[in-house]
Amino acid sequence: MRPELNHIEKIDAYLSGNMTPEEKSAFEKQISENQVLAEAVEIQKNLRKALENIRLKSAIQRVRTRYKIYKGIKYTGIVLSATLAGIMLLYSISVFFNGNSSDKNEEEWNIHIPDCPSGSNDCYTPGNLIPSQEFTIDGNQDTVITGKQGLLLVIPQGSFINEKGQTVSGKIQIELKEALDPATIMLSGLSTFSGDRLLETGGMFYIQAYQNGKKLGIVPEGILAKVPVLETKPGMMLYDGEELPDGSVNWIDPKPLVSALMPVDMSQLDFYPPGYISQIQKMELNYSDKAYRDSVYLSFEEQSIETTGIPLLGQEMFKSNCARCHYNNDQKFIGPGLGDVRQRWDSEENLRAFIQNPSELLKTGHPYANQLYKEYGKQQMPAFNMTDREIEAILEYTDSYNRYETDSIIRQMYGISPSKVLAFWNEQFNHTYLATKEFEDRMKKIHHTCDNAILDIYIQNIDKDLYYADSLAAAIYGGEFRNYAALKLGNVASADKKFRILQGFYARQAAIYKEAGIQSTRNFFQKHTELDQHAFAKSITQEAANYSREQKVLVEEYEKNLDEAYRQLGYKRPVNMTSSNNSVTALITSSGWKNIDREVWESVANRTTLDFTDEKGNKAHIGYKECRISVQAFQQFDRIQVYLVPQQLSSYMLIPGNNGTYTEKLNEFLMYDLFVIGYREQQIFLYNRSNFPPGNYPAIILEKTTLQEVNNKLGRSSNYSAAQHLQQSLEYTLFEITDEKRKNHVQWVKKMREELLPVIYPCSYLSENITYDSIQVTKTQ
Amino acid sequence: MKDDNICELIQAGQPEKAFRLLYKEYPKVRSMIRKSGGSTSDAADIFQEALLVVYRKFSSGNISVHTSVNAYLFGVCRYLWYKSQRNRLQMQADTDQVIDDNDAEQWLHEDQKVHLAEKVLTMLGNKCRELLLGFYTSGQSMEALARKFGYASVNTAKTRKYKCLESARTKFREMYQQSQKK
Repeated sequence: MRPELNHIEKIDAYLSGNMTPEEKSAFEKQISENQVLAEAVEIQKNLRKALENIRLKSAIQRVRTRYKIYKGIKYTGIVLSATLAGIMLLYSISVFFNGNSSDKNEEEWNIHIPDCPSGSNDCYTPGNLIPSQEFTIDGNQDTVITGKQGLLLVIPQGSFINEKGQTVSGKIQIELKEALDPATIMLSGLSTFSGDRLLETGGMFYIQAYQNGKKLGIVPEGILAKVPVLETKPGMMLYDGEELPDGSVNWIDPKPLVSALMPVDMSQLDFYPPGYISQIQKMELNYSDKAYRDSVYLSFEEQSIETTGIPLLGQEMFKSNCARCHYNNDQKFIGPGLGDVRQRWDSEENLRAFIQNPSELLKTGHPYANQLYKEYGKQQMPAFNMTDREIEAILEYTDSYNRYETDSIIRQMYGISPSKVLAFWNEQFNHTYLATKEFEDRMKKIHHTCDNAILDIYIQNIDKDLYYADSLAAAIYGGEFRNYAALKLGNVASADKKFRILQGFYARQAAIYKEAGIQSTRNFFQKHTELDQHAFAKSITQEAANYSREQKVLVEEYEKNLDEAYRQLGYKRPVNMTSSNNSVTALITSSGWKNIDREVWESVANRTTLDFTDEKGNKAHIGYKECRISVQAFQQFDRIQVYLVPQQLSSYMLIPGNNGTYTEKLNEFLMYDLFVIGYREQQIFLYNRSNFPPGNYPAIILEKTTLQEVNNKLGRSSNYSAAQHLQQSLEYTLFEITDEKRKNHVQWVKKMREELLPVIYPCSYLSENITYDSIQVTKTQ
Repeated sequence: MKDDNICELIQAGQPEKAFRLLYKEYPKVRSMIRKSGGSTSDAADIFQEALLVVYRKFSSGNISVHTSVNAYLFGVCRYLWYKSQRNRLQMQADTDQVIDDNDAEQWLHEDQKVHLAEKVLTMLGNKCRELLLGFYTSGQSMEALARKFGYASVNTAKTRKYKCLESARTKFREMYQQSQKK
């Protein structure tokens, strides 16, 4: 080494304290004597101090950069208003925001930040070339501002604060700069760097509020900016612009975008329970008519019961968390059966503690926990990080095993009350987040929870961002709602401010719907019960009348035949024979003539020809001839009735038959009028013929007619009483046809309701999977 | 407790970690400086200067502060800020009770020569500066540095280091004489 360098080495050793005391005192002596050496030592000392300074300053620089990125939020948000903001996409997100273990990445923080001479204004101020837009707003009102390039600012009342942190009212000036299209962004000269990472910008803007020339800050709740972007790319975030001394802008403090929701018209959304529309479509109901759909839906209000969504949640939770190791019965699997878990534990508290953290409870020496641990091969259950409610749901579910064992299955269906849904599903709520596709999506999940409380959360918080309600729902129900909450969705941009009024409206509306739903359904079934009773009474009366009429006609015919038989035999008929039912009894007790009488009776009752010869050889003949009537195109008619009115008797006979063919044996000694009446709904068709001779009529054609005409025809009949009876029968048949339709309708409604019920109320206390069958299966596994 | 932590970190030669903790004071300092007409970069400068003061004071083992480190830091910032503004503003009477001028001054006042030395060092080649920083400030061994900078042997690295010091010294003399002439 050159002597010069040795010299330096020596000084270095002296300054580092690497000299022996002797060397040191000798060297110090040299310094005191040698001016040049003293100077050299001093320079070296200064250099070392300077090195230390450089090191410290670069450390500070790194800390500062880091600080700005991590902590910049705090002061930009509150003390200073947001100055520049850009919506950007980080090209490389990896190392930058992935953790707090910054030590490993220490080298990453060596970002070169050039100096801008302090105090000089020569530094290029970013965005200078973009024209400012000035707005004056009233601080006491909600205001919406639209920039020239389409930036929409929604500024609620009281959004700005002064330097003391007080809310500012009165006139406020707002300066707005937009660089939303590529051309303006280039012109602006705004960088798109965050630290040394390049960002892809979706647009930048600058906002600053003033009052009386003083800058104002923005309240922590913030104001909402809707930025028109060409393309929404995943990972886009809002960065705050931090002006660096050299005038460039560093983009820091990325925050996820609040997605403002786009309200659509309520009528375009579907808040029915999932599957409702397709179900009523399948039933060929009038599904295109919303009023009709609503009324069917609301008709289920009566079955609505206030419940929590626990059992269904419990079932899901059990399947996804417990079923791998446990059965829901008393059988061992990898772990014990959970059917009786509640009974097995000493306290609910310990059971819950065990579910949430088994090892903790084991450590406390809890006897049962430790017993289980030993019993199951020292295999410990993993900890389940569940909410109280989720645990409650599982336990409710496991309880259902016992309930099955002890009680008979009662399936109580429940779900979201239709009245609660219909109450907000109207134009009044068009400007709330309820009228968005996003909420439509959530509503499906709400139906799935069967928990009215979850729906209430969304309705009670329409003044807040959607994710606020999402988080509350996630806290209560968990599941899908956690994912929703993570999306951080905002409210609709032009959110209706009349929340209180809306909520009041909702409450009233829900009550009205509830009442209407319950009443109309009850009224429907009550009315039909009454009608059923009425119809039943009527049918009883009619049947009784028919019966006595038939008997009467029979007896009348018998009387006539008997008279005729006597006449033919040449006897006088005994007078005590009366034309009543009793005559049958009388017949048996009388002497002498009973043979004839009985044979006449049998001939009438069986409608067979009577050929009678008495002891004296006198003969009597009463012939019965078959008559066969077939109606053409009988299928067209709902019902066909064939009436024969014997002119000599007081009432008609109804001819039995089927498939449009009616047969009867006619008494050749009587004259008949024929009335064949077809019914199609309320329309009447008639074939009518007087003095109808027996025979085969293969194709009778019925003509359209009216009840009135038939009545007229009957009215002209000489057989007044028979005509009256026939008229009554006709009217009753018409009634019966109508009533049958009504009954079918009620039947159909009941069937439809049975099918719709599980769609509208998807939850039940004992749902399908806990039926006897499924328990059997798990037991034999 | 926090204070102990900060002091410990400084004395353990871990300035960066200490600075991170202390940086939480920055918003207060910044708003204080902005309120009295300073800019963000003023605030950053003052804060940096104040951090150096705090660091020097505590690394010297001279810990006679009656307040928390944070309060001391804030006091130093106020002191430095009003000092830099003294010409323009009348220093307010009630400035600070936390520190007295001498105390801060003692740790603040670096020789002009040290500033000059800093400048000289920044004018050195990157490799030279890194080598010196590595050896003198982060306590890395010559072996490690030789490996890091790709020198054939420790001796080569040592020689290189002294050559760097030498050129810095030469440059320093030059510049010092120039500044004296003015």
